[in-house]
Amino acid sequence: MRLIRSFLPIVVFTVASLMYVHQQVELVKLSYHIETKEKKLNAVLDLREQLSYNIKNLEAPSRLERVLLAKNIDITFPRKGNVVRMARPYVPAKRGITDIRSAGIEKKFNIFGFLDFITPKAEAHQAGD
Amino acid sequence: MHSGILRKRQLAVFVFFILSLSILVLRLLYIQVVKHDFYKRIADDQHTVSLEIAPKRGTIFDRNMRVLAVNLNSDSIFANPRAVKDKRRTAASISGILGISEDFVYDRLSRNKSFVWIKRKVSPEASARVKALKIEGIDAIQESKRSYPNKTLACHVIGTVDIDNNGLEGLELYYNKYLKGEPGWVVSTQDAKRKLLESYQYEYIPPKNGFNLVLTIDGVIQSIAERELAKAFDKFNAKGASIVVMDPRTGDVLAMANMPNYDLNDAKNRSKESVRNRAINDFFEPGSVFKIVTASAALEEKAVALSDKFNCENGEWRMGRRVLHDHTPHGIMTFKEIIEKSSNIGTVKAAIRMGQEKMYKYIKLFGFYDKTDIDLPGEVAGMNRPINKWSKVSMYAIPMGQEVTATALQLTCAIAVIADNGYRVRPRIVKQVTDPAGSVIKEFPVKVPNRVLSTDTVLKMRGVLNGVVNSGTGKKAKMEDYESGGKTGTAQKAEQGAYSKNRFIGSFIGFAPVEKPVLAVAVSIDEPYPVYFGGDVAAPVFRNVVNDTLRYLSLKD
Repeated sequence: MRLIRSFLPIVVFTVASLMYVHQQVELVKLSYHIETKEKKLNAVLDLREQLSYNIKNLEAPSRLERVLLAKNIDITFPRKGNVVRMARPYVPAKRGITDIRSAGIEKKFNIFGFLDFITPKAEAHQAGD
Repeated sequence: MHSGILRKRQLAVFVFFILSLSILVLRLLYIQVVKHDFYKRIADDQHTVSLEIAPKRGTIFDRNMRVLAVNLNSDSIFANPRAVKDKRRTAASISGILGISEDFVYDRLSRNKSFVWIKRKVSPEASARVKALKIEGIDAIQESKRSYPNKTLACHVIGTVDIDNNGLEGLELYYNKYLKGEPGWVVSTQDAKRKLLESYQYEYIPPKNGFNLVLTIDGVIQSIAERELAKAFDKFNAKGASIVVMDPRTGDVLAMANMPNYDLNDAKNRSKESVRNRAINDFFEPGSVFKIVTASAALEEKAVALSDKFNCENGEWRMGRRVLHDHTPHGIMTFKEIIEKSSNIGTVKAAIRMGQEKMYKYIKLFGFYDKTDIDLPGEVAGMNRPINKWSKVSMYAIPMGQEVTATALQLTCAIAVIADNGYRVRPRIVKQVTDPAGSVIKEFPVKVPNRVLSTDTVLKMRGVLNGVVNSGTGKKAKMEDYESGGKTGTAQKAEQGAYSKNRFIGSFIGFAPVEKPVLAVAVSIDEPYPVYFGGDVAAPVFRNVVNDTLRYLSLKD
């Protein structure tokens, strides 16, 4: 009993020390892990920036003109009268309806609407959705 | 007996261990307590690192938010010469990849230092190839590199930065304080391989990235202007050329281009001649384009009417010792015809009727004595003498654009007076400063213009300048779809106190459409050869630029 009593503080101290060391080791490991992930993230972000820069480079008006001229394509701006403006701006048809008011369907206010999740509602899906 | 010896030996071993332990404990106490500060300082120096985090320089956009200048991350190759074993072989293997001389790399590797730059801001491909060699002592760190996706586009307006991203020229210099941003700091622990340990970060002050600039320049119009200017520059073997395209209603500079130009991404290899922004740095005697000032002043002061007739002396008029010549001999002409045909004699006679005080007043009002105050570095105001320094023959020279100087931008502002109902607008090249999130933090509003001419004079001058294009010296500026007005100029260059007989500056200033001008343009071609008349070398540039620009603008509306 005396032996256990005299060893107990040493054991507690040793366990606490080991836990502390383990924690520090984990911290260092975590740092390396974060660094690796950060490097990967930065590399991907850099690549994205580089690619968008390349796109801007390719879209430069002077480059486009040079490329087209090299292919004997001479593009000029349309003259007066070549462009006919439509009375209303053309809005391309969207797949699906995102704004119900624009589709002429008014959504009615439902006081028990918060219970909707209990019973599943039928939803119309467009082909390809 | 045996047990006694055994106990003595046990005691000896015990004492030995106790003593050894005591020595260790004492040594530990000495290190941990007595020399605590000393060793802590050494350890801190090795583990703790304080690093500056460079801010990202702001982006420069055109008026339609097209990117003109942006910062991209780029690797810089460095070496620890002490760690490089075979210096000669290393130099041979990396010099080819980096495109630098082997001797240069060897010289760097031979230095007794622990850090030397080999090449900064290299391409991603070159960096990857160097890293793949896995040479001990050679490594790369990331830096931010200024990149220009449109290469030569608006190079003189945008300007360049140095290797540390400090503005050197153009807007990069003028707005460096906005674009540069503020560096941040991190104080952290590093391991034996100098890797930062994120979990042991003591202090972190994030960098403040630079603000963005939104210009009044339109990338498409700038491109049109550069294309047409380059054609004329090559065709007429010119020494230099400039063009400024402005919206006369607001003073917004839509394009400003010069030839020769250079690739902003390769500014190191540019020629000296290509560095100057000639449109604001170079002044010259404008020649006949200056007659718009004389004519406007004479009409405004009612010294002459458009129908007044003058004898143009069949192209030669002797005034004391000075003889005035016209390019083509003319007899009696109306004042309108005088400007359309660009008669020097007729213009001088009209100016003399008006008087030199009024001539001087309008030169000042048109802004030829001042800088335009555009937000670009190095603008000059010219070298125009005050009236008390004018000579007896000044009134025979100034009205036709000699003895006065102007920059291409000043000429653009002058023609904009006629295009903008008599108001002199201040040119503007930066619209906004925005933060990295895109919120506007500073606006540059259109400056309040000064009234120079009455509406009546403006309408008369528009008619006269339309006549220059339709039936005068500027026929090559005539467009099929739009009516324009303008004035040609062919100025002899001054050299060694006299006017050169074979060096000229051909210029054209104009506006379009005549009814409601939205463009004011000045074109000047320096030393064109073999053709040198402004109507032949500069007017076609005006026509092509304005034609394409108006068509482009009509698509945008």
